[in-house]
Amino acid sequence: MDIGLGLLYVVLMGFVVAPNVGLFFTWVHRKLGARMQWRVGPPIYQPWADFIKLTAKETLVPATAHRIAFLLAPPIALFSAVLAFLVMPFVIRSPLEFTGDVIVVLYLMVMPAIAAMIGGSASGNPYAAVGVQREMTLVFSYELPFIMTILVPVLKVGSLRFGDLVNYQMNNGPFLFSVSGTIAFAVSMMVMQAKLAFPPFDVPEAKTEIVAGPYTEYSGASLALFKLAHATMLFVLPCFVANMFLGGLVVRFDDPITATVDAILIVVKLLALVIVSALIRFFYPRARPDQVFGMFWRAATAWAAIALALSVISVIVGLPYL
Amino acid sequence: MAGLITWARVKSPWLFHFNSGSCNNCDIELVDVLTPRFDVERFGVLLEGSPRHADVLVVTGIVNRQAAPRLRRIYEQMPNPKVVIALGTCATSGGIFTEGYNIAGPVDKVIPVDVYIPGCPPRPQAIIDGVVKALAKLQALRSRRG
Repeated sequence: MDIGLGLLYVVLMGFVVAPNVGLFFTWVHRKLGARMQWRVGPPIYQPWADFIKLTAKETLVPATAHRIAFLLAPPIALFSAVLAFLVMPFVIRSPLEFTGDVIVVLYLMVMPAIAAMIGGSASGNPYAAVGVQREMTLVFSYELPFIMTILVPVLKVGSLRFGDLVNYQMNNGPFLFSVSGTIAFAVSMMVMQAKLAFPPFDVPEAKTEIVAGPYTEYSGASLALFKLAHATMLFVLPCFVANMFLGGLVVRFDDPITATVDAILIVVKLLALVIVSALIRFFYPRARPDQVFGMFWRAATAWAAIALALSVISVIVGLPYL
Repeated sequence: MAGLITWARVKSPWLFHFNSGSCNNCDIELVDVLTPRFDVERFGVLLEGSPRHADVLVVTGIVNRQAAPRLRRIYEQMPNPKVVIALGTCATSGGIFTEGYNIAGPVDKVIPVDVYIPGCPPRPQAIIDGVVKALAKLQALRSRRG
C-alpha cells in the first residue's frame, strides 16, 4: 500500500470514523439509560453539541498546575485511543497491522487511563490526587485478568497478529463458541466496563465523592479532548472485544450477499456490546475501591485462569470447542 | 462557525449548583427538575460536579458571611462564557433573612447575577423557564465574550 492511501486511511478512519462513532455510542448509552429510567433522554446531536460547546469555552490552567503535563495529557489520551483503533481490523484488515500488534494495542488502550493520571496529578488538585490514586488501583486490578483473557485466543491461534486471529475465526467460528472463549469473553466485558470507568467500576470519577476525579481541574478544550478520548474508547474497546472473541469485524467482499451479511454483523456485534455495557452501567451502583480490587483479583482473575487452562488443554489435546 | 458555537452553547448548558446557606427546599426543587417527570436532560442540561465543567452557576440560599468568599471563588473558577442564576426568594432578595446579622447577600451583592427565579421554593416549571431565559442570555453573550 502506498503512502497516499495509508494517509487517507489514517485520516478517514482515525479522525473521522472513530470519534464520530464513539460519540454516537455515548448517545446510545445516554438515551438507553434515560429510557430505562422512564425519561425521554437527550436528542441524537447531544454529544456533538457538548463537544463543540466545550471546545469553544475558555481553557483555564490552575496556578498550582504543571502547565505542560496538564495540557499534554488530553491529546495523549485521544491519540492513543485513535492509534489503537487504526491497527485493528475494521471493515477491511488494517493496512498498518504488523506482527505483535495485539501487544501494542494492549498498551495503547491503557494510555487514556495513564494520561488521566498524568493530567490529574499535574493539576495539583487534592480531589484529582485521590482520583489518580483510584485510577491507578483500577488499572492494576483489571490489567492482569485482561491480559490473561487475551492470551486465550492468542494461544489457540498461536499468533500475535490481529489479521491471523480474525482469519482463524472466519474459518473456524468465533472463539465465543468455545468454553474457554465464553469465559474469557465474560471477563473481558467486565474489564471493558472498568476501562471505560462506568458503574460499578466508576471509582476514579465518583461524582458524589471526589468531584470529578482526575478531570476536576479540566475545562474547555482540554476537557473536550478528554471527553472525546473517552467516547473513542467506547468505540475502540467493543471493536477490540469483537475482533478477539466475536469473529472479527472484517467484511468479505467476495460476493454482494456475504458482504451485506458481514456488514450487518459488524453493526450487530458492536451495538450488542455497547448495549450490554449500557445495561450494566445503569443497573449497578458504584462499588468501593477495595470491592473493585477484590472483584478483579479474586473472581475475574480466577475465571481468566480457568479459561487460560482450558485453552492450553484444548491446544494440547486438540479439542477446538474447549 | 459562530452560529454553530452558539447553537452548541444553547443545546448543552451544564449546571453547577452551589448552596450558599439555603434551607434545602430550593435544592430539592432543583434536583426535582432532573427527575424523570421533568427530565431536563432532553434539553442537554446536566448537573456537573466541578465548576470548571459548568456553564451555568445556580446559587440557592441567602449568602452568609462564611459562604460569600467561597461563592466568589467558585464564580472565578468557572470558565467563560458563564451565566449565574439566583434561585429562590432568599437568593434573589434576601427574603426573611435580609436583616440577619451574618448575611453578606443576596447573591447579586457578591457576584453578578443574570437571571432571578423567585419563589419559596420556585416550582420546577419556573426553574426550567429561568434556565431558558439564561440560555437567551448565553446567546446574547456571543458578541461580547465568545
